[in-house]
Amino acid sequence: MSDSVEKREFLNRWELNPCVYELSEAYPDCGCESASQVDGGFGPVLGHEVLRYFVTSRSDHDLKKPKKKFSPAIFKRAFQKGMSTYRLEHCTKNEIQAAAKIVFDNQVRNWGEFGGIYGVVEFSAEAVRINEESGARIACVLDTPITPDRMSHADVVYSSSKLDPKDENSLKHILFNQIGGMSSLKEVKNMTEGDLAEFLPAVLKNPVE
Amino acid sequence: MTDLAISSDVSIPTRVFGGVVIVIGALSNSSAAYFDNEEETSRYSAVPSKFQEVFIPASDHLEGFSSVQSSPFPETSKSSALIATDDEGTSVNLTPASLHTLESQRPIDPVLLEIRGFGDLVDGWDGEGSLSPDRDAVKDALSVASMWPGTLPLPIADVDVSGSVVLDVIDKNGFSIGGFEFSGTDHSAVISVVSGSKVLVSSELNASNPSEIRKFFNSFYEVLA
Repeated sequence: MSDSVEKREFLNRWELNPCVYELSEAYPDCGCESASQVDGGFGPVLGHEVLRYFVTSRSDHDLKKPKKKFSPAIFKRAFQKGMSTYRLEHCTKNEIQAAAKIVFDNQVRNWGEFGGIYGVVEFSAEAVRINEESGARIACVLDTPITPDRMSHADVVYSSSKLDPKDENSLKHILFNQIGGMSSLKEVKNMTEGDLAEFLPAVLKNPVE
Repeated sequence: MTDLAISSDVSIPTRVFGGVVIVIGALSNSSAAYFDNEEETSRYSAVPSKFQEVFIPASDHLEGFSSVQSSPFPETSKSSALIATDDEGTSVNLTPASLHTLESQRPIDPVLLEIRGFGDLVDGWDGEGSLSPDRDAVKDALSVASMWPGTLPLPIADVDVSGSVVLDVIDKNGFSIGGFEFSGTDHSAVISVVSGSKVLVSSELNASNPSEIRKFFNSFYEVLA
């Protein structure tokens, strides 16, 4: 069995119960980025590829408006189970819609009319892989297809097996800055491509003053 | 118009955590001040008197206000509860859901309200594996936010999937210059101050120690300068 096939088999098992630290313990230095391509998949994520992350809404209490929150906290998942993104170069409109619907349904289940997708963040794989200041690795971007209709799924995961909470906090802010900060957010209501308007929180579709 | 005396209501258990919230003001028509639904909230909005919400950190304890009790996490109520009673014995439940109708007195007030709202989150709030915030993390974030200098950009309060509460500082160009993360364990918090991709400060602090907190506020000023 080749090295890349072994890595794919490891990734397949890992995805059942993901923990980023186990991944980097087994394959340090983002070894899993070179896992073999799955049937019908797209193979390793290239540096120039653009990844899309859905930014969700909620309302923690009855403020009669959805929470439109975008902050470095979105990167927390990269230090835990992986941050789900989609590879735009390979993603069909149907796949984007299917992925958005999964996120949307979960939000509506939790937050009712306030729940939904209010924006997307798009960034290149290389923007999260390397610290632009030091050149050190920050994160790996893994080709992690989920199902035949979600083949362009990719996970952003922290690249090391150990991390101090202080360093993790700093890296979230650095990742946020390297993807462009607040300017990286595209609000769904302003997007002309992708037909994501149906996934806006209900209160934004029919705003009530 | 009658002055308010503020007290806890035995029907809603309350606990004092790191600070208390008091409401200063007068109630012109206390019989209208019940907020179980939208209609009643709007009735309350019609009350002409102004209320000022003040969060007081534990370090500045309120001597002589033993009758004031509030909690971000009343054990039998979903939202924060603040019970006020006027001198005719009428109880008023001033929950955050009701307070949002009031005019804020300080720019930080909506942030405080938002942080307290994190106490309503339950496990799974952001999909599989997302944890509800630790109560002490919310309390610590409230303490720090209540000390926030008016000359710093207002923090973005958020909660992450691990249940930590964060206060992040974004500069005028939309980039992060760092922030606090509160885990809730032993008042422990981590703070980072960054400039672009460079880490300037990465440290732990005791969120219940005002002098430590002020020291880190100064670090943000250095980056902004």
